[in-house]
Amino acid sequence: MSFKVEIGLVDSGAGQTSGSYQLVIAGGGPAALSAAIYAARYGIRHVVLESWKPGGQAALTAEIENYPGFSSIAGSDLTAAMKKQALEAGAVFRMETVEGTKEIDGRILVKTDSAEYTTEYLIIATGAAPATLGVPGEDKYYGRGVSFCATCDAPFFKNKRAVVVGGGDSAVKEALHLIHVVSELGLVHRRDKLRAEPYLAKKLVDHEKVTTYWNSHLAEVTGDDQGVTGVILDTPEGRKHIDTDGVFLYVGTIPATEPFVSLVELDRKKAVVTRNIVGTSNPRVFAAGDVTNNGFRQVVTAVSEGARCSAAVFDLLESKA
Amino acid sequence: MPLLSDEDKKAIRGHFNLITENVTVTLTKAPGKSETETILNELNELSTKLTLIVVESKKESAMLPSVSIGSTGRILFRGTPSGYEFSSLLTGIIDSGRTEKTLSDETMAFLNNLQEDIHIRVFVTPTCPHCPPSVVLAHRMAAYSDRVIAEAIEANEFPDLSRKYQVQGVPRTVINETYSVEGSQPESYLVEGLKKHMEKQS
Repeated sequence: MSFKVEIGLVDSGAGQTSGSYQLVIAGGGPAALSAAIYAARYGIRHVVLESWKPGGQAALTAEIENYPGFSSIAGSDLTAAMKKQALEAGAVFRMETVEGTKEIDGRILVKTDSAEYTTEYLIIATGAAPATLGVPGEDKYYGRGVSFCATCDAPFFKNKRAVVVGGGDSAVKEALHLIHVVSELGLVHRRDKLRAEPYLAKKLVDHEKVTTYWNSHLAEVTGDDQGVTGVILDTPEGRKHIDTDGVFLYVGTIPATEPFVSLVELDRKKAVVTRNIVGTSNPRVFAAGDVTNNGFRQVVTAVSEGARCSAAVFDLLESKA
Repeated sequence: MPLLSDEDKKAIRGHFNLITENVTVTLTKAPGKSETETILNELNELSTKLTLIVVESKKESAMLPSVSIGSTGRILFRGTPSGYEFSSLLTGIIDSGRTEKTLSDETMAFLNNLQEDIHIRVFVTPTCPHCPPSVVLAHRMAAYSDRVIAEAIEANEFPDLSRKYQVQGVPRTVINETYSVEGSQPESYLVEGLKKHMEKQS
């Protein structure tokens, strides 16, 4: 049994935190944490608004095996270590969610669920939320068999059946986490081949508990008063009903850019359009990680981009000094 | 062998330095060895402001172990506060030992106007990194208003209760049996939703 020492929540002093800063970092995942470490070490007067999901999506990944320096580490342990490092460097965190932003008199106003900040520069590192398919039953059974977090919810499916929908790295990693717990696992993917790293994909597909449904789409989640009882799939052989107790969805993500729509240019998928890796259409705003259109959604690239953002802000502040 | 490493203890001691008021933590447990008792004993040694009371209960129906922070009996953990719930426990202790405001003005106004008691149950698992914010929010509401009781419930340790409240995902916040929220939600979202729900009920 482990006891995780992570006390960042103490910093949430709602209502007492408004103020004027050189830099506001919006987000709580690896990109924001890396930006925070660098901002603190550069001595930039900053605040990190980390919202209600500390560690972001990375914290929900059971095992990360491609972050240099660690052959295998729980995503939550990696992000907790980053947070600890940021706090030790002097980073300031608030457990607040950014609700809106606008430019006023050459500064940026950042409004959260409990305070307001003005800042010279803003780093958008709010990541992305799991995408949904919009199929019948998906909303209705969320929390009652439909899940986006195998790490959190796997214990509820011990010796039960589960279906994972998706074919990317997240789907495969989480399916490999679930496989230790469930009695059988269905893998539903819209193509005939997984997009995930081949090493992980093979490990999953070859597992004796796994049944694959290639070229198939989730059409409906069925259930009763107790929760999920099955899924209906559109397969090349026609509609198929599969009995299952749980459905884990990893069908992509939606960038969390809603509060920034008036500030920066977004692409058609709502990702922040970047220039020179971390710049945006707004010279006062930088962006890093899954919220951008940079494409390669990995912890290692997110932390790199976060660091570049704070370095860019530091250079700008220095040039004015 | 201690459950906390020297490095953990150092970090916790640093955070416990924020505590200015005495905090009583009460553990109610079944007879016999308890990991929760071990970890609380280790915590107790890290601050002179902490007092640990251990009570043995032989009641079979009791939800044990149970940890209560403060003297009101309204800030509760049901089950072993391990994994990420240990962070919630630490935050609860630190919050109880400080006088700083921890809720927004809107939330405090809502709680000041409560006409009925509220019982918040937050179902969690130790492996859920997004659960602590929901637990901490519920506990802060209970710390602020004597009309609120807030329990963090380790869903795996109480399967019957989890079944009763149809918990198959965490965090799941159930309020007064009639209102529930899935996932970790900001304070304003929870309070607004609850406010609307109570208006509808009345």
